[in-house]
Amino acid sequence: MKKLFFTLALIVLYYNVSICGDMKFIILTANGSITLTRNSNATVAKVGEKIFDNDKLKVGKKSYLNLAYQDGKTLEIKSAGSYNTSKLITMVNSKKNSSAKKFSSYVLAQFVKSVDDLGDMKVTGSVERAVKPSIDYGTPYNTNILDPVVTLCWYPVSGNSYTVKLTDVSGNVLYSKQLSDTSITLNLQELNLSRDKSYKWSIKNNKKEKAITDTCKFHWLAKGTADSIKKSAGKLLKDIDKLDHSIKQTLLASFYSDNKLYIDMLEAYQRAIVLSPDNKTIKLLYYNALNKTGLTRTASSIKNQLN
Amino acid sequence: MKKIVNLKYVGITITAFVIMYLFTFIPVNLGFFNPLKSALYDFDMNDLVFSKFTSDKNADTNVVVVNIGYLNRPQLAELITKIKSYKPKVVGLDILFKDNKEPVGDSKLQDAIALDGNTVIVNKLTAYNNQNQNYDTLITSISRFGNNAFSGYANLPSKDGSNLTTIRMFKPSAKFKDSTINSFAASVVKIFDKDSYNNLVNRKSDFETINYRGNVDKFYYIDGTNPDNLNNLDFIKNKIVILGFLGDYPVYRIFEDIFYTPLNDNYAGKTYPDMYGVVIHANIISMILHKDYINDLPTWIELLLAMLICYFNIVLLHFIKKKRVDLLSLTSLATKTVEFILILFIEMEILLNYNLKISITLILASIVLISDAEAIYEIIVEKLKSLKTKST
Repeated sequence: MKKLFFTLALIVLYYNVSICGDMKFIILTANGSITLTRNSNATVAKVGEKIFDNDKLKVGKKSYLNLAYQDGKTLEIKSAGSYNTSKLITMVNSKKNSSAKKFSSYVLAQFVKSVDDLGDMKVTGSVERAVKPSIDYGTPYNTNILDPVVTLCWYPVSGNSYTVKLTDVSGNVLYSKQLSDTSITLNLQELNLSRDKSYKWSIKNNKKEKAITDTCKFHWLAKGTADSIKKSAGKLLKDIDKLDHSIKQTLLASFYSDNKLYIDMLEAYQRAIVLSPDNKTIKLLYYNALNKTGLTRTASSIKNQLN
Repeated sequence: MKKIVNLKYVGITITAFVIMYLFTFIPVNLGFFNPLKSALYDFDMNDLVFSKFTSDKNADTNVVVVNIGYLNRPQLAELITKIKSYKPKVVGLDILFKDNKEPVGDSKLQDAIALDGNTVIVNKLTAYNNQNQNYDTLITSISRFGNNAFSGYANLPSKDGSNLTTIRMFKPSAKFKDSTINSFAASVVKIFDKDSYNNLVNRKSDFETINYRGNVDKFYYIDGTNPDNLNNLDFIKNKIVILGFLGDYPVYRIFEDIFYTPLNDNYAGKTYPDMYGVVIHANIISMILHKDYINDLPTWIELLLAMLICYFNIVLLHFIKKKRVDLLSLTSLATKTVEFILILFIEMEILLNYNLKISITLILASIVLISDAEAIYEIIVEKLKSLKTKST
């Protein structure tokens, strides 16, 4: 019996040692589209996952992978492509340089920096207006949304021809449309998009290649969270029912702000201003809210009203 | 031996150091007019080492950094609860909750923080009193969170109190109204590894140089803003998990809670901040855990070393003068260049291999001052000689 137990224990130990012994890498960071293929089975690679001999990792575009080798050295991969374990081992080993070698390379590089390096004048003494986003967005650049329907808007530029692009966080295009309007209403359910995910959007001027908005983002909240917020908003309105309507809207705006529902926040402020057009405090709050959410152009248009 | 040990050379060496000493008494900040000094105001020679030569440090898999992005409180509560379901040994929150928000969300967050009793939350020291070296104010999270967690201050020493200078040091503990409180990193390590914590305490250092391991690439990283990333995190068990803000890492940098560190690719001058605060704390925690401290060479040894090198340079200079005075300028320049590179290399090797920090400022300054020191020394000797002649 003792012999059997001992033999079994040895087998288990050997099995574990051989598994651990074959582990080459461990995933420290996996961002974007990273796939792990093992024994012809492809799965999404996760942080903490171990990489063994004969595994293969596929890194998608605009993705980032960081691995720790069995000796602790790290390897960052930012280029899209397929990497099998032996290739990864070669890459991590090629990084190993003694500090003396690095130092001498560094000193040599400093010495051989010559006047010729100034010949290629890569910097200019001017700004390039086309490079700076030249389409101003009219929707908060980073907001949560409760419902599947969202309206994105922007300021017009010459040409009146735009392409709106909606992507996931990794940059994969989910929706794209050409239009001449300065707003678009999207129904995320109809686009088969999921809740509790972030999406990015940008607008490009078709007539002028470099004219684009910044890449903006919104997060479509999970149903549970959205329902909870709606419930809380309802309760808040009930609690403040006796207050002046414009104050109610202002308090509601503040509630939305706390939940990063900036589109709803701005709409609440707009309603408050309509209800109390002479109330400068509300306008000031609205002005600050616009600046906070990146809508500086809209903010500057109401600045005069504050004086 | 006779040629090497020379009273004149000793005299010149001493004169060089006396000059440097006298400079410290000048009250006017001449550096104000010096653009080089201004640019290098925040430059430490060791920054070059950290910036260019430390990319090969190993990852520390004891520490997991989690990005909270712009999560609201209910979302944070969910995240913390999920993380704790994988049984980490300690959870650090690099977040200060100063106000009450919506009651339901706050209640969920309170429960999440209290779960398992292994949370450390940051607080913030302000109102430093220079006279008694105490802080008078401690800003904490609201009591419903703070009372359910351990705490540690998140303050990091910086030259002008802003996050525009490089973070090189941390203070393990500080005095708040005559009691001693721990830094955030020390509090986290205290729960995780008592032995490492005691080692830190026994060093009795007021300040420790941060021996940076690296940026986020040296730790586990989880984007906590994406719920898809929160499944199958069994590797978190018994580890340190720190939650904090990392913007949209690794996509692009957002300039909130982000600092300059010696690891910045541009180790001197103007560039973008390179490390989020939570990652600085991760580095400090890693250093304490591994007892990987950087020690300073005692001042008297630095002084002795500087004097010996200065003396050696004087001997060399005079040797060259005797043999080939026509080549003195050229060889002097070449010698100084080679010497500078060699000193830097030795400093780098000592720092990387022995965790010993040597300030080479004194050495370099003494070499630069040799010619002037020699001139002043000869004037003094002449004056003394003439005084002696007059008296006889």
